[in-house]
Amino acid sequence: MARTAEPRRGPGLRRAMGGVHAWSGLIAAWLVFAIFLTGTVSFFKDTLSLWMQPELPRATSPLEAPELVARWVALLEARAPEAASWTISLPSEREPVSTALWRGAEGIERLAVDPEDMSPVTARATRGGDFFYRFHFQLHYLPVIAARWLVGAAAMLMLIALISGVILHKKILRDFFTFRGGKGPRSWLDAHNAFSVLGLPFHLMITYTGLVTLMTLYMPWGLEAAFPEPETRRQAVSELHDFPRVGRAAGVAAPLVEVAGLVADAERDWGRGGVARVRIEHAGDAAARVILWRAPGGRLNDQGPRRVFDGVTGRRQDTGEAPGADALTHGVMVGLHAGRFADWSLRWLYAGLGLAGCGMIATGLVLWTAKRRLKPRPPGGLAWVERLNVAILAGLPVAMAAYLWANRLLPVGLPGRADWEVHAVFLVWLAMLVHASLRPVARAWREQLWLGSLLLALVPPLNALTTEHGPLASLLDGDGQRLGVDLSCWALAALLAAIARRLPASRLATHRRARKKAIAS
Amino acid sequence: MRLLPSTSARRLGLRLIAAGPGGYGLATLFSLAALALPLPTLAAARIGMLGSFAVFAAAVIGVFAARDVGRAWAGLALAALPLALGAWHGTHG
Repeated sequence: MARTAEPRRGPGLRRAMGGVHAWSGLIAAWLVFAIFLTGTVSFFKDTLSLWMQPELPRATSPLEAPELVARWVALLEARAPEAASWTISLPSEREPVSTALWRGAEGIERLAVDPEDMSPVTARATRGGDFFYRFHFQLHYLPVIAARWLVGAAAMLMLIALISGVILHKKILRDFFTFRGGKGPRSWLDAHNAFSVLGLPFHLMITYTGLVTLMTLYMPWGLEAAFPEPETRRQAVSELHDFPRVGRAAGVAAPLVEVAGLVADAERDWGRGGVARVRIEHAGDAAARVILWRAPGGRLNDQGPRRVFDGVTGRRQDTGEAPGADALTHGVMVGLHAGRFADWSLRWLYAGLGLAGCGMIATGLVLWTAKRRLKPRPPGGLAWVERLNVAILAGLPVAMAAYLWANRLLPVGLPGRADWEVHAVFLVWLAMLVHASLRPVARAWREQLWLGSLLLALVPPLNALTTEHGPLASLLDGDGQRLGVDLSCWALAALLAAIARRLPASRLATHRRARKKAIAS
Repeated sequence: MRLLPSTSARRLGLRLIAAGPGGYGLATLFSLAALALPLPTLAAARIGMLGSFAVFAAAVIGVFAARDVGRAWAGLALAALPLALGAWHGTHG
């Protein structure tokens, strides 16, 4: 890479970019694959949480939002009068229960109710889809900030791999329509190109906006210079994320405004179901404040709009002005990343492109090894790269399927149940690493892919045996959310099986064939 | 025993330092220079942060696209100069 005085235009530049692409790709790819796969699943995190809590009611005819909020206020005034703030989530298609959060004496407390009659809902302890969501930016078992830095470094390398990959390609469009099957590295290269070009704008967008979601961590220096005081800086960060901080109580009693009326007003402007969340701060205090957040439906900007009211007089406190260009850009970037605005069809497009990203990374990693395997003297660590490829690319789907199994098989009353579901993921993943280190590589690939396919294919029957929400019951019940998870398991099982079937029985067979062809031509 | 790494390894090391710490440094300068924009402070800081990753990525690509390691560092310094001026204005202005 460091050859001197070599003209970098034309082939020289492409060679340099080839080095950058191969190495930044290799270093980041395993972690980025895990981030992409768990991140893709996170587009459905609420739906997955619903599936993982079969006890939750479907609440097809919830109370009207103002009525529901009025009942919440009565309940919380009795239950948590001292809490600095209550945050009430109103039900939606994807989250059919209504929940409230507040900080109690023992940390954050949470209460979920059936929005049809306010009866409390209890469900098995699980992290649900939230586990995948959190993993995709802060991993697990690691200090949160350190893990976020790791994820950020991987994302930055991914961004560089994407840009250098584009420069590397002279004829990016022609490559997209080329597929040469059954030819060792050539075929992997064609597959890699197809996945990459297909989703290139998405891959660039999702990687860059991912960095943006944590930019105050990765690039804090401008904020530190502009707001040297910690207190004003905290205020700036809260404004930056458009997340108002809870203020101080005045210590003077004053009755809380009728929040239901504010919700009803907002619903008149935003439509029925337009209010997603209500935060009530210092209820019963003169400094009370009420904030209503609008549901994201169909709007790209993930930040705002919201309404802020004086919690005693009900007077509007925010100006209701449109955000500035900078805030709008930021909000749209975050919105594009999270995809909360997306309706079902767009959400599936996101999922498809996310999977294409996984395919791009996986084929890139396999290509990296296939190319080097062809050399007369393959480099020393190559065998370990190949084994890690198996353990991560095929092993992670197995471990993720094990999460759903653990959810259905662990006893509901098990202490630390939610944690054990997560431990199951990593124990199975570790087992896949051990398996990949012991078995011949080509067999390890097929065995793990088939295992993943089998585990996923059996999730719906397991679901039917252990709950009342099997796929047939969900179909008859019109429960598209839970049915969707079962059907997706089958679709992914078919995908893994299709990949397993296409892999050669042994590595030597293809490489011998490919080498013979290389020599012949 | 050779105490210094070979020439090509040293050149690669210098390029990696230019790309990693050098690129991050350039991105930091950009985020500080943005404070000099005639905008409310928070908006300027936000623009600096939003754009910094693009600057970082461009710096890395530029460092490896350069014909030799000397040019890579020279290019980095050339880009840093106006940004450093802007950063000085942004933080002292």
